[in-house]
Amino acid sequence: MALTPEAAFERYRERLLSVIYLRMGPALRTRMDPEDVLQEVAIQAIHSWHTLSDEKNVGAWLVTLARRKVARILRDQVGVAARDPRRERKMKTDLPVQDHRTGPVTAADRQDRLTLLSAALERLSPSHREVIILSRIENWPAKDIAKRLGRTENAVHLLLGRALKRLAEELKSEP
Amino acid sequence: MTDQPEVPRDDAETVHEAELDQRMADILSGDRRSISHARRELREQGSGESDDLIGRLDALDYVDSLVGQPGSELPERLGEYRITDLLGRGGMGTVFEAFQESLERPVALKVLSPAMTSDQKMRRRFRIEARASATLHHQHIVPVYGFGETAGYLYFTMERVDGVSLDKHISRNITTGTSPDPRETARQFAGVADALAHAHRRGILHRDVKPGNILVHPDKSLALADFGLSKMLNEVSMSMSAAGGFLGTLHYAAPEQAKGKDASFASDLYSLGVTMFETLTNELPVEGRTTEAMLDAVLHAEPAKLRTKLPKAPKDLEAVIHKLLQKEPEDRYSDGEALARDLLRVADDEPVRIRRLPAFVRAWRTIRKHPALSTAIGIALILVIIVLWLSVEAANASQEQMLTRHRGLLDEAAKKVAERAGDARGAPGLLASLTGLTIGEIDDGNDVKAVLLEASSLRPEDFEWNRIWIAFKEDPESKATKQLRAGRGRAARDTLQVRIDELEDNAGFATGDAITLMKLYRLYLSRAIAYLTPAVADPVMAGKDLLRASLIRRGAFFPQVLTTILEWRVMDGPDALFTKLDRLLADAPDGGRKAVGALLIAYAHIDPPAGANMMSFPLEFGLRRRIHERGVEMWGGDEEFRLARDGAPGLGLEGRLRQHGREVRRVLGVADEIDRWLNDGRGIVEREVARTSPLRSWRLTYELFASPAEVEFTDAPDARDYQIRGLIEYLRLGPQPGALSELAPRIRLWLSTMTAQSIEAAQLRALFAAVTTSSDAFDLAGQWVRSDPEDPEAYLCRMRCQLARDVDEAVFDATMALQKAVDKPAVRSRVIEILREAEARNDEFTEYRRMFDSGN
Repeated sequence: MALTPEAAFERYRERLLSVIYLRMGPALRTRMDPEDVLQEVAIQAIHSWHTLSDEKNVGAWLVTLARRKVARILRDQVGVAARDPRRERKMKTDLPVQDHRTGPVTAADRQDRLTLLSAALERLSPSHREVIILSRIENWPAKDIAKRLGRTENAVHLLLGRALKRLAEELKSEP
Repeated sequence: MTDQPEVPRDDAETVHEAELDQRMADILSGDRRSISHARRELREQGSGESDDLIGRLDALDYVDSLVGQPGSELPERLGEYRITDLLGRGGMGTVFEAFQESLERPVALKVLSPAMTSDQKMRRRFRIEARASATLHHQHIVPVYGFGETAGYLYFTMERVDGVSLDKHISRNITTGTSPDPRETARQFAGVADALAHAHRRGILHRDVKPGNILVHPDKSLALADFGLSKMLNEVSMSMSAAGGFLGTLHYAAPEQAKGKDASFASDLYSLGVTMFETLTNELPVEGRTTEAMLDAVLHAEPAKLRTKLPKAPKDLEAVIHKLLQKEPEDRYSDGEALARDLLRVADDEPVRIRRLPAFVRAWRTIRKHPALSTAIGIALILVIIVLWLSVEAANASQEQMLTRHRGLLDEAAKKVAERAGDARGAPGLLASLTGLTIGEIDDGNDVKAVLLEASSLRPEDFEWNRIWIAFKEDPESKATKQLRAGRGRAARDTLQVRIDELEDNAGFATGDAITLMKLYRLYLSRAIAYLTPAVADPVMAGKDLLRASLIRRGAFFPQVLTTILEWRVMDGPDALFTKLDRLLADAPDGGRKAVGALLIAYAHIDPPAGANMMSFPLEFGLRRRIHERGVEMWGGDEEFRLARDGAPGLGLEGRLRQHGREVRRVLGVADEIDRWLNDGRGIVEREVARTSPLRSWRLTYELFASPAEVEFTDAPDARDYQIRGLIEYLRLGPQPGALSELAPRIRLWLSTMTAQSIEAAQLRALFAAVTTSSDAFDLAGQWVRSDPEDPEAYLCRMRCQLARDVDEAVFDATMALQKAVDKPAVRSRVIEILREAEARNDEFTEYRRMFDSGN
């Protein structure tokens, strides 16, 4: 049975939302709901479904769409000159991440853990953050990460190991 | 560790860490199965280094459990169970559908996340809990079949219920906008209440009743799952993610659980009350968007009335749920059995037991049943009451008047205290320690004192007046305030932490006692300031404390102002900042304007005012000047600012380190002194600077002074930030060129590997060239000026390069630096310092130096 974009999307929903949430960073999240971005990615996925060459790669393909979407938003939003103060939006202190696969409690719990992870990642150095996101959230193979970072595969695993050590410390030190 | 400047260390330690890193890398290069195998081996080893690696694997698991790996980790079988499908994934593990081959039945199999069960004690506790819950047999409890351990995985199996969790059921209702029939729901929950009664009689608590743990059978009957287990695992998950992350579970926690006390039978009943409320209305009885707000609501907020959300619900059902949601455990139902009986009565439309009818109705009913007797008793009783009331009234009239007046005075005093100390500008002392500027007069509180004296003369034996007075006068943590004023942000944070923990555990916190909360308000503010010091540099945590302070005193001015200043960058730029501050100032009390001015001045400065404690934010210079100008305008006069600045004692930590660095440079040639100065400097960094603060760069600065030739630069990307900053500090302090002769080739090599885009890289290049008087120094400085024409440092750098070339050009750059400076006196003294050095080689500079000296 051929895979439909809807089914693929449903299957990778959590991962995509995590990618979007973490890639957006705290500043952008106060302006824009990751759920909305997810919707846009879904629409894009349906439109460009025919460009997917192999169904086996659907996860990586969707993650790439999500990552590019966020990058585009960041590029458009960051560095925008001062706007009319009347257009200032109310700050959101929290954002709802509704996970349709599970009920409201699981969603709240997951939201909470995601917030915690995001805050901990923010406190890591950029390279540590990047290696964790690439390897665990976006699921890149070590070979590709190595190519991207200009390192050997062993160096990537070393970096990931050290990044995890810092992450463990940050998760524990959250007062 | 590679995330800090490379310093000479015990070789053995370094080698050991490198070995650990490599071992971790080897583990990570394997697949999931081999990672899980490695984890098991490490657990069996139980040494310090295996703890380190297990900690890293736990972090890995935390990330993976959150993101999920659809399909990829579906094992084929676990022991005698053949896995057939994935049912769901939660924080503590994954639930599979499986087939038990020996008994030929389908089961639900819950595999616990390895991070949850890496501890031996934890595994033992799991077995005890699983065994206990396996003894429960009840129509409305999902039976636990068994538990086991295979290939390092801990799991238990339950009946495979052909239905969905109540959690999903509610989700579905929210989506479709339906609400269930109240009487039918009461009947369903009667079964759950009876199940709880059954477990409670055997001494077993559920501890985590919530919709996610209740299953809905196809026939609509409900069944409780995960007795005792889910809460235990939640606790472990929390200890791993530390506190703060429990919003999801807090929704259903009874107030006593939220306070961290042990759960009781009554706690299970409370949670069931919340679950029923949500099932009926699709909303929670108390709401909070953040963990703090939720905690506040669970502890203090009056739960919503059922019928305001669901008007068609029977009054009796509202009364039952209201009783379940009482804050005090003893005010709830005595047991699940009584609750079950009342729920069945609601379902059958019979009156329930708990709803107390008004007194006159009860009296009327009694009289109707026994007319003669009741009349006699009634008349006698009324007579007795009247007589008693009259005599007591006469005796106590004056006493009561006095008491009422006394209480009135105390209330008035408490209100005044809250307005003064917890308010508007926050404690002026705190603001002063943040900005380095003394703002206004501290309220002497004589009127508060007068009211309290009057109250004490009425009832000297009641020391409440004394408590209020102390709370008003006393600094809740004077040690921390002293530490803050000395720029010791990290020490202050630790001191405040202890005090806040104490007060949060205090009963006063839970009951919302005004004086405890006022103290906490000041403590949260102080801790926010400690987080904002350069020594700690954690604006995220500062934001959280400001939020806590705002929760205690809603609308308080100071936390709002600080939050605005911290977060303006995510609004719409500096204009939005000014607009918002103006709006806040419209309702601010006297002196508010000045306070905001002081904050802006401190915020805009690179070299903060003496004694100031504001974190140094990376802002571009044009912006700094704008914020500074606005601040001075609000503060009301440059002259006054300078007075405050020069008058304040001490320097913030950043200033102290810079000052100390200059002294080190001064004594470079004096062998006896240099060691002492260097050790002293390193001591300050170790003692005062938090691990994540950018001020860590000063370690490298001192290492460079000690022996520039021996400092090794690491190319670990996370060490670079500190190294670049450290090098910039070092070069800005202007070491002797000779000291750089050996260092220079390595810095050049290192510079060549840097991606050159950052402003820091441009600065470092230019400064380095200037100090080494390299031939391209002038060009590099020029590039820096062009890339950031608002940065006075760029002009100062080009000025250095001009000294030997063209006196007029050098002086022009000095003037530009001064013009662009946010803090003019600081830059003027830098210019004078540079000119003084140049004077030694060229006396043409003497005249210019005098000119700058005299302020022209």
